[in-house]
Amino acid sequence: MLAAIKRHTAQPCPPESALDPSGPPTAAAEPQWAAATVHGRSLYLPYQHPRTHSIPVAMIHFRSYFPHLLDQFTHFASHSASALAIPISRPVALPTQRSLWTVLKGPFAHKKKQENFERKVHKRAIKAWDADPQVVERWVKYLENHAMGGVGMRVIKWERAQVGIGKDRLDHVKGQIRIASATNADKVKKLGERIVREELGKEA
Amino acid sequence: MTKIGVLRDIKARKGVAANEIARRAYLFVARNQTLPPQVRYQAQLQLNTFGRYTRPTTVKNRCTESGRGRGIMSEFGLCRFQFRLKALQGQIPGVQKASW
Repeated sequence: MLAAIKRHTAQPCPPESALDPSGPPTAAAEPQWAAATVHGRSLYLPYQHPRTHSIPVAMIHFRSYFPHLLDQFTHFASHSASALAIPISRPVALPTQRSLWTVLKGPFAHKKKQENFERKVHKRAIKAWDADPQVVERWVKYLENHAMGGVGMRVIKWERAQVGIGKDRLDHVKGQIRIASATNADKVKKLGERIVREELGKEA
Repeated sequence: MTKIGVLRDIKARKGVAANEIARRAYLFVARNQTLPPQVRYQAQLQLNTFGRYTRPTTVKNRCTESGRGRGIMSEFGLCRFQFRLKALQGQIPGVQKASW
């Protein structure tokens, strides 16, 4: 199946003007949209959006006993990420895990007649960069909704917070807690001023 | 036709689950170096009063199909022969005859 995919010609994205939902619907909107949609897009490899900052945002691991199922689902995942304009890597194959069991063929004795059984776990990984956390969440939810039987998915997400978030959180929590031991005169004064301001604001 | 070993194992598992908290508490007291020896001794005596169907060592993995006590593969809960029969029928996901 993958041999049919033309590796050297990835389809470009449809122009943004054709997909703009704002503004009143014109008579030409529907045919323009249909013309902009690339039918049979999945025959080709997905368009690789260029990374803007190369900041890793998510990594998805896929595992399955059957590599053809993995190929199908990673193809689907790559296309959906491309549709959401998330810069992703190609599906990378991680080392296959192989478990081997050697059991006696018969229920009793005959140690010299044994049989080998194995189970191979094939793995793929797709890494995503630069997208907003909400977009990544959408992508992950979409994949989970259309999950494929026989393919397991593990998602690792990295989100960023502003510098000093720990201190902000701590201050917020401390503000919530009442420390009965010592009241800071400044804090009480500020609180009083705040209350006065709010009350005046309500009256006005 | 159930095997008696299977019934004993079920009884053991149920007993262990019911008494685990009490056993762990007594064991903690009996092994605690900071407590006085009399208390520890009493706790150990109490531990000795528990019956065999409450001790975790009584629990033994058995084949879920045939009840065999030996040759069990924990990953499947089956003995080696049942594992082979099911694997050849394709009833164990991902397992196939190895050849290399």
